Amino acid sequence: MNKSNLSNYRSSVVKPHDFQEFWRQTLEATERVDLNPRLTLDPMRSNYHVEVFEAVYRSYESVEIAGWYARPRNHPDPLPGLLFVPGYVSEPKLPTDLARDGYAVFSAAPRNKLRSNRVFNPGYPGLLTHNIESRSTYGYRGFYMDAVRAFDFLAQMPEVDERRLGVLGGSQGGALTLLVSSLRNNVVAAASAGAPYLCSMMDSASLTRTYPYEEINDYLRLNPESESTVRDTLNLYDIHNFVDQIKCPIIVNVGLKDDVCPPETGFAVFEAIGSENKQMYTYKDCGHESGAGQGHGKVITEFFAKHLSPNPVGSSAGGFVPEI
Amino acid sequence: MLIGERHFVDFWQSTLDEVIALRSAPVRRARIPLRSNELSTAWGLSFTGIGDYPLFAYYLVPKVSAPFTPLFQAPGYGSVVAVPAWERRNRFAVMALCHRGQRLSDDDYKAAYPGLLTDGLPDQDTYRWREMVADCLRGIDVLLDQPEINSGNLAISGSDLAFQSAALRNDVEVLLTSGQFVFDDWERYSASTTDVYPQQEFNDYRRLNPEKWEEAERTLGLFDPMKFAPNITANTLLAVSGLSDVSSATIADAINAEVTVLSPTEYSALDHLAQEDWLAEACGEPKHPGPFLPR
Repeated sequence: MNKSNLSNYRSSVVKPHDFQEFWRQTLEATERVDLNPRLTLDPMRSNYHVEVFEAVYRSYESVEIAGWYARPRNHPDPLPGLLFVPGYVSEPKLPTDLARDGYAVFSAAPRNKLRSNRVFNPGYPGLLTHNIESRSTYGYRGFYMDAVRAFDFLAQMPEVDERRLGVLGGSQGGALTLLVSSLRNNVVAAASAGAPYLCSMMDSASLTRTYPYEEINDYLRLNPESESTVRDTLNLYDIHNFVDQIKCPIIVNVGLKDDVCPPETGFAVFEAIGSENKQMYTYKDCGHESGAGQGHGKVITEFFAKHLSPNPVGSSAGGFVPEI
Repeated sequence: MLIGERHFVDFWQSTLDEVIALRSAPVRRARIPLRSNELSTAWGLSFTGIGDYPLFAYYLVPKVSAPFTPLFQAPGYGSVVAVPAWERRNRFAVMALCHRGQRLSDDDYKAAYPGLLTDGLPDQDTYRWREMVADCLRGIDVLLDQPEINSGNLAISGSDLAFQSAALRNDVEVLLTSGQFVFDDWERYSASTTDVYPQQEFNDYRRLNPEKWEEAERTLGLFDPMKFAPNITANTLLAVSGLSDVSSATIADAINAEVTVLSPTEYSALDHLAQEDWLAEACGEPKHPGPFLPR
């Protein structure tokens, strides 16, 4: 696929008239729930350099959400913080390597992920089309809020410097990175989004036959009369509609032969990002890992080092690998 | 007849015997309309593995005329097993198994990530990975019982579990190994030189259980790819990432069949196409343009 053709693509996403109001109300409803953050030291996953905690908090509709919190064992306060948000099917990363790089890291397991799926568990495949014909109960409503509240959890940790907070992830993690950077644009200081998913969703379903977007094709094959309703719901949740509010320095990377998240939708969302300090990295002949094999992990490491100034506590294996 | 040290042969032969004893056990086959499309019909297969454990597998059958090359997709290291990919659905009768502990096969046991890689150590009889290999062997038996397939052309794809399963059967014609081996050179990982999961699980276990590590090492030795390799008789593609050139060459030399080594490059999309082309050719199936739709 030709890079200039990809960058000429224009998303068909429309921003609903009630977009701001819907998400304002959703955030308010979420913030009315006491976060009730709890940490339990996990000796099995802690090591000489890093302490690891099992984390739990409450999110939208009081659903209990799990995560991992890792920090350098002996650290000069305060620490820069990183929120790591997961891909669609992968379990949240246990971020000991990032903690060793000098960050306090929260790795979130939004609802439906293992350890957060007692109440809400549509599975995989399943999440992308769960209640897709209902704007108010679509599965991603709570899921998005879980990511935002994971960031709030991190930001309120006493050892974390609230002026040095970053977000990163690939695929669905890329989408959630963009979401959190938008909805917490007054505090996110730097963000890295790889192969962003949930962007131009209806277009994506027509540009690929690969799951997860194939879930939309599966659904519409059985429910063709619902296409307009599905499009209406997805417009309300499309990450493309959030990103004009992003203010922080941000990098985005895409593989030009990504069959999971079509690269043209990555170009389109990058164009729509509001921040003036943004940079895109494209990787020829790369699939969904979007440049991991061509050294993009080093780009991410250096980007956050520049903006968040961590103090590493040991040599790191390094590298960020997008997950789906 | 398995090849190898007595301990290795006895351990895996007894596992094979447990699986073989299940061959007449019932299999339930139910159509899944939501995952069926213009290329293939999706089925859910429900059956039991060793220990009377309930297992689930996706089974996708092309909509053109049978028989089809049966392709067993061994599960990877993670809680979710994906519906088989679009580019495989029109040519192969594809089974994607969920081993015990993974979603859809987690009624009696839910695997933890991290945690599964050391679950049941140090005892060789309780180490969970043995049961996961047995689940794959059972899934392959179920696949070969399906009416639409050409049982003389069995193909397997995946990483560790594909490699281990292929070694324990003598009816595998084609083996595509890709992804990353978690058991590759695990002693190197256990030397505390990595922070990277899942291999870091070995370090975590060793740090907390130093008194059990000697026995755990003996158990893990039963999963060493070098012990499985001489038992592989299938035409094999080794496209595993993270293997050193020395390891790839050593494993390739030990395999008892034709082997192609295709080391992953930095161009992952091209690697994927090359692997799928190799699979098609090895199985005598037409090549597919891959997952990319025309623009």
